[in-house]
Amino acid sequence: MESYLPIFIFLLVVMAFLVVVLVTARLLRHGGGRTLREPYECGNEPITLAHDYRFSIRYYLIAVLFVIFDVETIFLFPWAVMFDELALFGFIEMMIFLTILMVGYVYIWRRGALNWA
Amino acid sequence: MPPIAPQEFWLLVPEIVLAAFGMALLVAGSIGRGIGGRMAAAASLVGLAAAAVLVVWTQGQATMGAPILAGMFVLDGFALYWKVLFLVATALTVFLSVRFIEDGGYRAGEYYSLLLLATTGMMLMVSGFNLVSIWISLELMALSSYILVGYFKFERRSNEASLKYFILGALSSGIMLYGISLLYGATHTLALPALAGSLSVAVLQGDLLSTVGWILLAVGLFFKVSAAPFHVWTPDVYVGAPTPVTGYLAVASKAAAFAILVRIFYQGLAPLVIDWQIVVAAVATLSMIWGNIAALTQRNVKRMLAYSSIAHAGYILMGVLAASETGLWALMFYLLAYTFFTLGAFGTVILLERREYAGETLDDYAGLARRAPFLAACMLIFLLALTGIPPTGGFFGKVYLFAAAIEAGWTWVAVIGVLTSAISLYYYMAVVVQMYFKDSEEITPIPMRAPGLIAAIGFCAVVTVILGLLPGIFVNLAKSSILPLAWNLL
Repeated sequence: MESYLPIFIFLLVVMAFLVVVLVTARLLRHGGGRTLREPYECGNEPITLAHDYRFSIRYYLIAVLFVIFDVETIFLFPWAVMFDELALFGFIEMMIFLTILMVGYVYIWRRGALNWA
Repeated sequence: MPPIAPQEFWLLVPEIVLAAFGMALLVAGSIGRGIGGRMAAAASLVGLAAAAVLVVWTQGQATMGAPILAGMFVLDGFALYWKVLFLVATALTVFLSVRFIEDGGYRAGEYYSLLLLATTGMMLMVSGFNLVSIWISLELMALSSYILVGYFKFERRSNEASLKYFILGALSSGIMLYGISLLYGATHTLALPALAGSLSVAVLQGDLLSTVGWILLAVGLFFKVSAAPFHVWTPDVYVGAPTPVTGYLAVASKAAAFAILVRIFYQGLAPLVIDWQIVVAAVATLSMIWGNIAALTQRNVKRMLAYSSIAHAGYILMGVLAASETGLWALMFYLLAYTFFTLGAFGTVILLERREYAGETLDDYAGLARRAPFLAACMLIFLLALTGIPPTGGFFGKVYLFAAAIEAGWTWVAVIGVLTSAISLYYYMAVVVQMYFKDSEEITPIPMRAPGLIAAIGFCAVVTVILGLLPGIFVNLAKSSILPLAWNLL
């Protein structure tokens, strides 16, 4: 059971850290005003509600597309590092993976998902 | 992990070819004005045929029952049987879809592309020998079908169905994955044969972690086969989806889920047989009772078929419940017959539908025998088969399933099966009464355009009858495909 002792200590440190930070922030902060109580506080007073303006559904689409290509990069990095060891087999495998992604890219491009008009 | 020889990838060439066809259709459908519906359908049929030839060819190349690709997949007679069944079911779905997609006015390339990708997922799934490869293949199938369900994107019902299916499907996949992770925590393996070995030790020690794990895994699988009490998505999704997709979900998706359920229960969870039999018995009983009673009051034929599909999940679960070789081949035979008579029934619904959804209610079937005698006769065969009346494949399918349950000592479940089948006679025959004994104001014959669709319906009817007249051939087929297997349970 001794092996779990570091985890217990870590837990205590985490909780102590939280208490210290919150208490310090409480002591140091200035009185604040309306802006400080906003859900997304950024120092400026908001002029309208978020719901008053509709924003494009494309933000969502772009976010999804971003995640896909982000994941592609995550796969590419370890492959690039291990390139010598994976040799030709790894190269072909990665090319197949990229081809599949490219099919998706051609699809979203041709269907106009990237047009910002 | 043992090293993977690149040559082993050749054993997955049917799935690779099918996926390539799917992706080619996606590209072809999005460049320029896209490809026409008939062209895309023809291309997907070519892809399915090529995959079917390659499936048979690769089986000759592999050592039967030997795991490939570091134990991720296995090629055996069991997988071969299902793969051919999925390919046939998908080909029939293509025939059912052509006119429907044309009339809907939606792009065709994506539709057939998703259909092929979903089938790829099913084929990989039945070959899966490791919970991870099984889960990923299941997701390939599920994600494609979520989009297919919402394919009529300007129809509210289709959107609603797609969203419901997606949310509940994602939840069930998550539950299943959580179960898999707990099983891994308890046994330190995800390969089905090794899982059985570790579980038999864990069972002796009364391990709680693995119990929770397999129950969560089973919940995910029960959701996919739409067994009560995990069936709530079924009626809304079946009604809202474009009808060919409904047929595809009811047949191929269900068969694939049952195939993998059996593979996991009979191979990976074999040491827990006493425990899961109780769960399966409860779920089967509930599905049969709930599905059949809820179907009684439906006026919409697609909704009625959805509840009937829940009830059928209950009957088929009896084959799992038996935990015997008889149960296994009875299940395989039933799903073979079920594929044809269910797709045939949905094909008939498609032919009667006008403008996407109209023509689904029971009253639309009034006087059908006079307006379209051939169609009414085919529908009669399908309804007889759904009820389980000879001379159709549905009769022998049910006999074998009930016999398997009784043989294994689950007589009370079989009794409930017989009683609920009797209830189902009422709502299936309500359609027959409408077709043959009611007159409609409209007496103009129904235009029999779409020859491919009519041929597919006729083919389903003929096969349903052949399965009822000569069941022995197909039973032997199912038996021989499980023989060379090293099932842990059998």
